Amino acid sequence: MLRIRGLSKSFTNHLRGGDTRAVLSQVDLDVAAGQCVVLTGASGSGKSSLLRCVYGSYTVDAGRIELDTPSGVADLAAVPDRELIRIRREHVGMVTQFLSVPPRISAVDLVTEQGVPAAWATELLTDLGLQPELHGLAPATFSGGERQLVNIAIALARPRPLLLLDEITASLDHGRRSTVLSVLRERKESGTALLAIFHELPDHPGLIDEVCQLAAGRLKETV
Amino acid sequence: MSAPTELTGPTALTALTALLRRDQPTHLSGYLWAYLDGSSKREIRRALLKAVCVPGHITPFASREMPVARGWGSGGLQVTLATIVAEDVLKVIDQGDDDSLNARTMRELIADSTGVDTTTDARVATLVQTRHRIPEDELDANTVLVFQVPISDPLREFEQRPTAARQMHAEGDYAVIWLGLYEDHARFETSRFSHSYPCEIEGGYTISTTPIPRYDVPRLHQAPFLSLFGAGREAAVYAIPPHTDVTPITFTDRDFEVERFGAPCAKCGVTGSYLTEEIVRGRPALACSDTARCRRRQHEEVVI
Amino acid sequence: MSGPVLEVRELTVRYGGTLGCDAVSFDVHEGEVLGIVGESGSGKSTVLGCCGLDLHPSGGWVRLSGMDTAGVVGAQRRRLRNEGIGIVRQAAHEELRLEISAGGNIVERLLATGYRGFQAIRDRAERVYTEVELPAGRMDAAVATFSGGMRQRVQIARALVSEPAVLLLDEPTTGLDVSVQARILDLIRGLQRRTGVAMVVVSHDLAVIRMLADQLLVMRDGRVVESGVTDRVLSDPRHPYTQLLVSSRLEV
Repeated sequence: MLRIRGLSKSFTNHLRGGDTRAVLSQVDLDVAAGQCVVLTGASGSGKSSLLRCVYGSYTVDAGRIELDTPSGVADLAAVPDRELIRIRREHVGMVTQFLSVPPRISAVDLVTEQGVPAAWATELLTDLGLQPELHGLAPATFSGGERQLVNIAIALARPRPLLLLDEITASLDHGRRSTVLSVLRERKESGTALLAIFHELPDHPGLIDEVCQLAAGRLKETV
Repeated sequence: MSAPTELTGPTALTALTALLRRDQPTHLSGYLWAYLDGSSKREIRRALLKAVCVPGHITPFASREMPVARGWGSGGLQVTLATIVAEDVLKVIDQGDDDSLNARTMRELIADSTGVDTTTDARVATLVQTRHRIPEDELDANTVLVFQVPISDPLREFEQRPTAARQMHAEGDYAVIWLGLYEDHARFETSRFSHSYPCEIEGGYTISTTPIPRYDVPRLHQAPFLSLFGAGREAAVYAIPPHTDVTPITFTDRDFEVERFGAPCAKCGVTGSYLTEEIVRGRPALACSDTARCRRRQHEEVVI
Repeated sequence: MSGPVLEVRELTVRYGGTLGCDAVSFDVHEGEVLGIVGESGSGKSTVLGCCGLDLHPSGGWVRLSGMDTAGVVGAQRRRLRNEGIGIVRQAAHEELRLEISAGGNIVERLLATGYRGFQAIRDRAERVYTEVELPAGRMDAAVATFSGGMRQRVQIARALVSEPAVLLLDEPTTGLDVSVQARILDLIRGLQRRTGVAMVVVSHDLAVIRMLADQLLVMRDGRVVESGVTDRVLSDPRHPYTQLLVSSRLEV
């Protein structure tokens, strides 16, 4: 599904005299359909940067990010902007702990905006554990955990074959965390590829297939 | 009068011919005939010819100082004096009334400086200078109507910059007039224009039928007579040649309506004429605004 | 996919000796939103002015639905502007007639393109009036009696009534109260999703751009210094000016 080869990324900060800092060096990583790969590593090791390179939020310096799509293999490191937007809509979903949704549109409307029927949106929000009485309300009034459920629902609304998950359970309490992880496992079992970062590795049977550790922008070992 | 009676053929051309034949002596015993000097008349007539050739086009001209204040008919007066010939029979009305002060003074000025005959009977008049009304008698091809115009441009209310307004006329951009009409229908369910109703001339320019009431507007459509409009203060003339389409601007699903009066004229008893309020036998009442016709009718009634 | 709705190539505008914008190129397809950011004088409004047919380019060209706009002048240009383009400006009074009713402002563009049935245009005006969530019963009130946020809504309704191919927004929420600003942005975003109208949004406010735009141009001194997918430009800015812009924002 996803093949990353020789991926390198650095930032040049012109506001600090052009100081260049490498965040990823020569990363190779594969994620197969129906597989869940988890990235671990210390803060600043490049985990989030790797996800953002895959999603196209960061421009890469070198390397290839190949994604299998029905119309062929797309190199996410090199696709034109318009194509990247289309691939995101159809093939790649991303959820972060920060991703903010427009706060004044109702939860169910935010999900249906992804192009799914309202009934399906309601069902998804319910599956993720958002109380039905909140579905018609805007996330502005929600707690951090409830907002996060809406974020996740937006990414899951369409059957996107690849999901990038950046500490999405950090703000959830224990019960909700378990519900969300079950939904993710179901998705994985039906063929979705997951590339995830967790604050602490969840003890959820059958979810995680592989753990890759990053240190200083390099892939150390595969567990 | 030497003016022709055989008005046939293409209308603008016919009107033009009629105007050209209105040849006049420039001097009478050493004095200027018809008040204006020869070159002024030439200038005004040149503008009038252009106005007739381009129906509804607001044509600038070098407006002269006149012995009436601007805004009191100086435009109509200049058009009349530049157009009049010795054989003309003149009628001057203001609000349909031959005897109002303004009508009288202008009639006297024109008659004194030309020696033409004057009348109050629209049926025998060959040149009618008017403000506010078209005489209600049937007018024929031998009559030329001269309107005194206060505001020539129907776009003025919406667009005060003359250059922009000219551009809008050139492009047929009359959306703002329609917008005004929309506002009227949306707020009052009818058009607010009591006079100066905007009309499309032969599918081209939109003019202000100023300042006649809506009642008179249908009479301009395919009229046998030539209408000349003069705005002295604005230094502009425009014209409607005989047999020209004059279409009031109105929505396809809204009718153009003229004023209707529930009562007959309090003086002559006729129904269906345009009435204004005046004091009749000591009380306010509605009476014909066309006073000459009303008086004639009262007289006829007495005779019968 | 059909061709771009709006195509701008090598667009250059000179104001006498000064450069308004220099060799700006971009495409906007149906359903897309392009953001243009930059500070005052960066040329973003000049670019929008050319797209809105208010300005004539000194060089390059603007195509609207495949038609080159350079040769379109006079009445045709006005018609193209009324039918093909919707404009929402920062200062409502530049686009609206304040003494005219909200409904009148909305139908003006229909009247300008030859609609002559009163009930038909009235019905259309009522539809968009309701769609932009203006208060019922005020459609025949003069816009002068409307608040700033309501005036922006009237502008949006006026822009959308002719179902244009492109909607141009020039600082649509600048100068409004924060809460009003948020609701107008919600409205624009919702309308864009529902109608799929192509949009160009000019703003100096990165929050506005982030919320509305898929793609982004960063302009400085009349030139495009950086462009790309919005979240890429904002999270991985590479040009020194973009980095300054992104680091200067208080909160996005």
